[in-house]
Amino acid sequence: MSRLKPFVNLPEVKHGVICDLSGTLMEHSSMEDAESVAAVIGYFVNTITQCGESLGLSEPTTIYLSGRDVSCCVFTEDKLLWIFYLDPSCSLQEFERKIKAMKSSGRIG
Amino acid sequence: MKKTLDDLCTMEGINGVFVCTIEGELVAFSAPRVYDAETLAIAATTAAQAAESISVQHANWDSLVANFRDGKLIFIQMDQYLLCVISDLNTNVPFLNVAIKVAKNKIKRKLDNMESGMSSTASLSDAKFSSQFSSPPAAFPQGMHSSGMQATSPATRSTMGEPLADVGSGFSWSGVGAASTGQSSAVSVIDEAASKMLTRVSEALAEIVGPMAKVFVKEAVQKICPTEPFSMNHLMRLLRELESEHISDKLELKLFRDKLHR
Repeated sequence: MSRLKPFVNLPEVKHGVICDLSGTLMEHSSMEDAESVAAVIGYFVNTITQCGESLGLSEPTTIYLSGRDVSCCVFTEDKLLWIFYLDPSCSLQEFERKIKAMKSSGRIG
Repeated sequence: MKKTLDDLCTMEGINGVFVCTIEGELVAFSAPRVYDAETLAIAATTAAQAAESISVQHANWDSLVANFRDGKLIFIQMDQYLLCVISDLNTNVPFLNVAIKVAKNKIKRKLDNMESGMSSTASLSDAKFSSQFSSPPAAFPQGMHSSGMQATSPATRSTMGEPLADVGSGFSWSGVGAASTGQSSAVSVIDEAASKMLTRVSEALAEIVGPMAKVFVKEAVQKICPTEPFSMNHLMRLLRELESEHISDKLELKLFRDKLHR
C-alpha cells in the first residue's frame, strides 16, 4: 500500500517522495526526477544534521524550503525522509499542522 | 554589521546569528550567550555545504527553516552569503521572519558596501594605497570572500590557506597625501604619522573583527572626515567611532586598547 497516498491527496501537495537518509528512493508520486530529488535531499539532510549537531540542536525533524519557484517540506521519521512539494501559495506552517493532525488521528502512520 | 546582528540576537528566542560566505567562511556573528567563534566557524562550513547541496536541485531557494529536536536553524540566502539564525524551538517564525528581513536588508547593504570598498581599494593601488585587499582579485573571489573570518578562531583561515593571524602586513596604510582618484570611497592621510596610526588602528581592530578591520577603519575615516585628509587630530573621534560600531564588550575593548598601546 502506498504510504504517500494520504498525503498526495491533499490539495496543496504537488508531489511526494520518500527516501532514506542515504538518498535511496523508496517511493514517489509520479515525479519525473524523484531519484535525483531523493539523492539531493538525502545529502542535504545529512549536512544540515551535521550543522545542527555542531550547534547542539540534536536531530532535524522538519525542514521547510521556500523560494521563487519552490515550496518544499521534508519530514524525518524512522530514518526516512518524507519530501513534499507544495503549492507555493500554501502556508508551510499550516501544512505541518495538517500533517500532525492526520498523524495524531491515526489516519497515517 | 555586527550591530545589526547584535540587535537581531537580542530578540527573544534567538541564541545566535552568523553570516558566512557560500564557501563556508564565517564573516560575522553575534552569539553572546551560547556559541563561540570556533563553534560557529564549524557550523558555517556545514551550513554552506547544506545550502550548496540544496541549490543543486533548487537554485532559486530564498529561505530555509530547519526544526531540530532542540532548536531551529533558519538560513536566508543573500547572493554570495548566507545569513544563519539559531533559535529556540518555540520561536514564532512568522514574527522572526519580519525581523530577519529587516536585518537581511541592512546586512546586504553592509556587505555590498564592503565589496565596493574592496574593489575601490584595489583600484587605488596606483595611489600607493597598499593593502592586503589590493592584491590581485583572483585571490579573493567575489571581492571579499577571505575577508570576513574571525581572527580569534583557530579554525578560521583565509581562502589562501594562511592563518589570519599572519596577515598583519595587510593592514598597512601608505596613502600619504593620496588624493582621491575619483572614487568617493577613497581615503587620504595628511602625513606619515597619520598613515602609521591608521595601520596601527587597523591591526588592533583586526584582533577583534578579523581582516575586515581595514574596511571598517576606512569606513570610519570616511565618516568622520569625509572632505579632508585624515590627521592625528581625528584620532580620538575615529577610535570612538570604531569602538561604538564594532566592539561589543569590555573584553574586546580591553584587547583593542591594549593592542593599540602596545
